[in-house]
Amino acid sequence: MRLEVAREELSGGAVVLTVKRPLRSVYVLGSLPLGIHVEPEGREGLLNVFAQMLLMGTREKSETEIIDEIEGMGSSASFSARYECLLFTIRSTAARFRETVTKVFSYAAEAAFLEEELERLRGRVLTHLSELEQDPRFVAGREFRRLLFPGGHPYSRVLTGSKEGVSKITRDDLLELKELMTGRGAIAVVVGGVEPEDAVGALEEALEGLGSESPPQPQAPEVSRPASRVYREVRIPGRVQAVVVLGSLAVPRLHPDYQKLLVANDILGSFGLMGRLGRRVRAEAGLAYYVFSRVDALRLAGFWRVMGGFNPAKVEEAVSMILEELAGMAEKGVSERELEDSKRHLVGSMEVMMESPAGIAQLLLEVELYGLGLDYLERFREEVEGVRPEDVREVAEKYLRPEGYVEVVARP
Amino acid sequence: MHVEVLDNGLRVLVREDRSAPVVTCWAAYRVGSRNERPGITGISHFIEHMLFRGAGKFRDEVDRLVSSRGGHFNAFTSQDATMYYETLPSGSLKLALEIEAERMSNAFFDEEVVERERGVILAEREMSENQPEYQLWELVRATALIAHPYRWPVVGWRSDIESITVDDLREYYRTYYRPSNAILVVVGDVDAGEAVKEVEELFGGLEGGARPPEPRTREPPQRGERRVELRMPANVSYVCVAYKAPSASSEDLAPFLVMHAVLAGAKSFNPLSGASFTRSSKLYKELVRGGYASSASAWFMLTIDPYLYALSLTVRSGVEPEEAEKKLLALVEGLEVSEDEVKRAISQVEAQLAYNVEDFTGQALMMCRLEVVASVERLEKLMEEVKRVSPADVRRVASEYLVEDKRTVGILRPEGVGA
Repeated sequence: MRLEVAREELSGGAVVLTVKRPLRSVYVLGSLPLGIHVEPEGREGLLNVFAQMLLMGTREKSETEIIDEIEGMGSSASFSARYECLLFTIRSTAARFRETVTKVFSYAAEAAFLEEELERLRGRVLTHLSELEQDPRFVAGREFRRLLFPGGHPYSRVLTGSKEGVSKITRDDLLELKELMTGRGAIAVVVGGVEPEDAVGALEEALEGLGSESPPQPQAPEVSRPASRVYREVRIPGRVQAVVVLGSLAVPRLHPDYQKLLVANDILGSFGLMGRLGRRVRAEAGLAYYVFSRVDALRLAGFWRVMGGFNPAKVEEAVSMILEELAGMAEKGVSERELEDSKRHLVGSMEVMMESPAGIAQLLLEVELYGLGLDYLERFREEVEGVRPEDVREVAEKYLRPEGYVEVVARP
Repeated sequence: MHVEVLDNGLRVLVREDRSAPVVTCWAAYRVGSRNERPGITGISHFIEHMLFRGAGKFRDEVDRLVSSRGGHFNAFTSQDATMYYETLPSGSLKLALEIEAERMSNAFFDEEVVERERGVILAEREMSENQPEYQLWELVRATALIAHPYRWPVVGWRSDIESITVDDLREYYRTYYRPSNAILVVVGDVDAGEAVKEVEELFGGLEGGARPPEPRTREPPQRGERRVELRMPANVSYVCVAYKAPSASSEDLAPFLVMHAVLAGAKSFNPLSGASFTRSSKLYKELVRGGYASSASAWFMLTIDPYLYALSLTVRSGVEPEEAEKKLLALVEGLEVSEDEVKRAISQVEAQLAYNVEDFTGQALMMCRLEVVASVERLEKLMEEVKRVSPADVRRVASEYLVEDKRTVGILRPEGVGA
């Protein structure tokens, strides 16, 4: 499918991508160049708190007044922390689009980070972190990151932070972070009932208040795949189901192996009902409701992981099946039919994503964030279609082989 | 929108939308936990799991056939309905229709596969049980409702999941999976006339059968507060309060929706969207900003019979659950609404409607859901009713529904580790 995308670089260094659709609503997804790497040591969770406080009041307007204005128009807006950026999502009716984005960014630019508001939010975040401590999925995922990215790597953190980090955040930390917030490098993808020139005009005005300084560049120490299996078990009393996360380092987003790995992962734990893993562990053995694999490829590093929820008595059986499937991919590769199915899946699902503004926006944000170019949609098809069985086997052997991996089990 | 009813009773709704080269096809059956009885709770969902694997010539093939075209697929069971869908690139409607025609007439219930699927369903239930607030909600619902089948979870009680037999499944399937009890919805890049023709070819020959019997049990009126407490290992406390809510066809629905928007934020008409929570809502301002809860939400569904309106709090560390409960009850049962708040709530409800039709899959889901619980035309009428809601209407429904005698309060109190 050819997507009509209008791309405009603004004078302040931001980029606006617009796709007009015959809708009464507008969906905006975008990023500001402020990733988790800006969190100082000992302040885990700072970016998340910062993101939430952007709409929690200015010197002149309280959170209540701001939100009443935005939501009173039937609009919604939120900022949230991501590993590589500060994400913003704005929804409005087409009629209130300009007014909504203007207000959202004007309040964010003037955010005051008042002590009283910080304390209010801190209490909530700390309670939420206590809640997460009882969730095996969260705990297994967090421990997995810590073990996979040792040595202070920014990806070793979870975005919600830690109780210790959140307890120490001060207003000064937030004000310092605000100094780093800039419109240069910002990306906004606008999809819905708005003309491209109106979208550009509205965002140019809205992002102006954020300034145009150069953003901080992400940096991280080198990481390498563990030499052997690293295992950790965490006990969470009172829970019913165990959660396993198992995986290892792979490649960053712009690495030449990325596309091949995407295909390998699709066959392993995504295609259809969770790929080979779903067929073996769920459909044939009845051991899981969910067991899937994912590739996370960011700018500085990438990794793959398998995640599944199992009855505690069945964990070992399920894990041995997962390991067999991983070894099978590396040793025997995949069949022609699997490969063809997967290629058609990956290419076709990109077209199906176009049915929703959120799908279009997500795709275009990724394209812009990694500088892939608007011809990526065409190139993606060519690159995926060019993947051969031996390529899949090669990347499976290189990255998915079950040696040198991290395994975390959170169980009752 | 094109509406057709085939001779065998199958109701077909087709909406053409050429804005993306995609088509979505949904089959909804008027069967859910509402149609179950003790001993076989969860059977509607069990059948969904069996049929999710595909049927007839598509047995264990649906996932491959749909995914290899880039499509996505899923299935859901609720209190009132079981729904299956495929969203595919345009030009693939026939495949989706064939898959659904096989599901409607050629299910398989082999002993061995049923046993495997039972394990999957138990794992699904255990996944939910991992969340303490799910366990509290299950208890509150079963306390708030004493007779109506809405009182048990859609996934079913564990002992029933463990003991449902192959014969139970076959009989249940024969009773409810028939054209006269189904709705077929197609939305997207199709020609409506062509689509209806294809539906007639594939479904027209199926035996319609009589409409299955309606459940007889009605929930008796509640005459006094009910309370329930759950003690389990957890790090935080939860409060859940449930009131009786109006059905989808009730005249009170429009003011109730607006009241809900004032309290918690406008409800999405997408039934899978979960609880509402916006920061301009009273719940956020009073409970979350007020320092009693780290999160607060309210939830209700459009259902055939009257169900529940549930408000949930994650109690902030250092606050006693009773304190948070007291604040919540004072807010809800003494609800005050201004002209401005009602106006804002109405514009939020209208905006939700615009958001709900942004994608074909969401549109079709909404159409199926409305058709099951009332009729697809209900939405248009409802929006007209919503526009006319006044503060006095909101006060009236609040004083009728959100009252002590019709409430059930549940508290999850942590014990053991983390308490």
